[in-house]
Amino acid sequence: MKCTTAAENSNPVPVKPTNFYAEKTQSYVYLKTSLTIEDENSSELNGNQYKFLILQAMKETLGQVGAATPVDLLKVFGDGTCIIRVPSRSTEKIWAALTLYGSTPSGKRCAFRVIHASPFLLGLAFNSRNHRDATS
Amino acid sequence: MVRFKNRYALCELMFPGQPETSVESHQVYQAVKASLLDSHGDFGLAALQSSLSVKYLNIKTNIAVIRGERRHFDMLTSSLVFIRKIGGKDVVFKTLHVGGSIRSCQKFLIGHHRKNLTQIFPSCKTPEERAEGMKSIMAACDTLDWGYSVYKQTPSQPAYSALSMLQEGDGDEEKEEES
Amino acid sequence: MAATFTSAAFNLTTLVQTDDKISSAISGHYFNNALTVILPGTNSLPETVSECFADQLAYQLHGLPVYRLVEVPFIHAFVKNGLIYMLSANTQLDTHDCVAVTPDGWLILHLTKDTYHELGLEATKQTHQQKNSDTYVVKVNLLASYFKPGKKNYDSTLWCLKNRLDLVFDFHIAWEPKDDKVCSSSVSAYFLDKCAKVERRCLDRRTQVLTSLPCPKVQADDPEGTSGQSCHFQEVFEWIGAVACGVDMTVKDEDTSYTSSLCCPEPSQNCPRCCLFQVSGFITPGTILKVFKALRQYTTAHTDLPPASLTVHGFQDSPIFTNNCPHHLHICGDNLMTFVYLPSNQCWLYRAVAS
Repeated sequence: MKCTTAAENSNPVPVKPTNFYAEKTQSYVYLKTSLTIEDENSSELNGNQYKFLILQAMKETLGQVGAATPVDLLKVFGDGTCIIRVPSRSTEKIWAALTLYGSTPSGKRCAFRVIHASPFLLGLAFNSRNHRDATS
Repeated sequence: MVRFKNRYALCELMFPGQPETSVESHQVYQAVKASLLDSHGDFGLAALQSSLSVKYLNIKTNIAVIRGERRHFDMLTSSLVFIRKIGGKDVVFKTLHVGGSIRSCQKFLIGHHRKNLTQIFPSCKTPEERAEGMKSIMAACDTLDWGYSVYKQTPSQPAYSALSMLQEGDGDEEKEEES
Repeated sequence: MAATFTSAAFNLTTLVQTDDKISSAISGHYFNNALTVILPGTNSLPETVSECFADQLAYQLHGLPVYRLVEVPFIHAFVKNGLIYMLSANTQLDTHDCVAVTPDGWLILHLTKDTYHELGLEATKQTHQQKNSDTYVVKVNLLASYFKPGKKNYDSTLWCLKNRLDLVFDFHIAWEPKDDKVCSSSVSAYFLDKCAKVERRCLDRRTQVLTSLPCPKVQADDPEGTSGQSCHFQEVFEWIGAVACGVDMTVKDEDTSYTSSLCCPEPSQNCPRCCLFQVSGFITPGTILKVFKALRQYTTAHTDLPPASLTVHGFQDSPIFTNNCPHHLHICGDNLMTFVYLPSNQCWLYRAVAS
């Protein structure tokens, strides 16, 4: 979708047209998830371990075909949360797979929690819902 | 009330290097289920398990008809490709046809056998060999009649058997060969 | 089946930096939660930008009954004589009642079905989404000539809010007086005895210096990157997001590509140092306009650097989006505006809304 309208301003600079570009669908969805593992400090997890557990979760619920979906682990924060990027058409399935994952390969109980989901990565930079925590 | 829609996959089970192998239908069912769980996980198995069944298995021609729900049928066909073993025997699944009813699969199967006849017959030297080949196919098709009997209840359809269709077809082929 | 589960609107407008559309876009976005400034080529935020936040005053009111907002002294002192920004705090748009007062004099009550039917005030026409989620929006024009004591409409509104239900909320509040002599802190003095507690809402600032950051090349007249000399505008937006979230954007080798395949869009240039400034709080559009102008001054003086950007994060739970458009929340309520400063007085404006 693309339409062009002439800008109706009278600036000293030559009048530039105002162009408008729109994207109908976003190809990715970004999820901020936290992971808690029984009797373990999940803040010590590194990126590879985190990614391995995400892939395990996907393999359990969605099988080998589902686990082949390209999931990118963009950032691991120190407190056991991370940002992952998933293709938007398989978001529900991956979200469900993360939610249903209950125990690590070593037999410890664990849980993924999706804290924030957004089609824009910038949307995850701030969460306006935890103000009370931020101020106190 | 909406009808529950199914799809039927007509598969040929090929046992490479083991010509005289036969399997039972519950073994096929277990193999499909295991492959579905492996390739599509809990989700894929849960989506198809209620509708999954091996409707028909011919141990002589190694033809199987597998039923699955229409909405998730692509998951079933994709997992059939990954089956490598049934009951300890190496196997390759070759999906010949996907139909909306057993009847359409059967029609295809008859056509398929008829087509294969033309490949078998020229290689037969003597009339005895030819009769032998014909007999084995007819024996194989006996079980097809059983599968067809489910659909026999519709009165408007003329009652004919798969075997008679085969024989008619066979006659046609002979005429062609003569001319 | 393959449709995306969130509905998102995303567009880019290329503008001239002095365009009226920019100031109207900023001042139409009433409730702003945070700002992100990415300024390549510098170690610290310019003084002119940080000064903009000096006279920004915001408060948090605890336990304010809603009927206080339709009282005449409040309307006369603050709604008519300035720009008032009020948004209920710690309420979630999809499950709670939300209340907002906009600078153009509307009291907006975004109510759940239960509250709406008990309250007895008439809702405006519902949008399709509101019908599906059973929420109702009551809009009261505080500035209308007929909205005064003695008139039926005023009396019934006040009675409903006062006697029907105990509608009590925490509020974020900020006020920009029309008269320069009046201090914007007088709004807190007014509410001091009308609610449980008034708290000064301080801004939470963070400044980070990023070194050797890859920056995408951008051309103002080729946002879709068709020539191959610049990046697609959507990739640039993702890059801004990645910088704001602190994502590592360096090119991945075999060992690290297991976790992530995201890297800086090509063609790119290396920026030896870059300042990332993030501030969160309850920020008024007036302050943002000042920041925009200060950044424009800075970028016109430093044209040889990769483009700087300013992002405005709106509140997820704000009942209205920009220009009084109703806003709703399904999965996430992100509403963002990003300005990218480009050479020769050009500017890109991204708008992103999701629900």
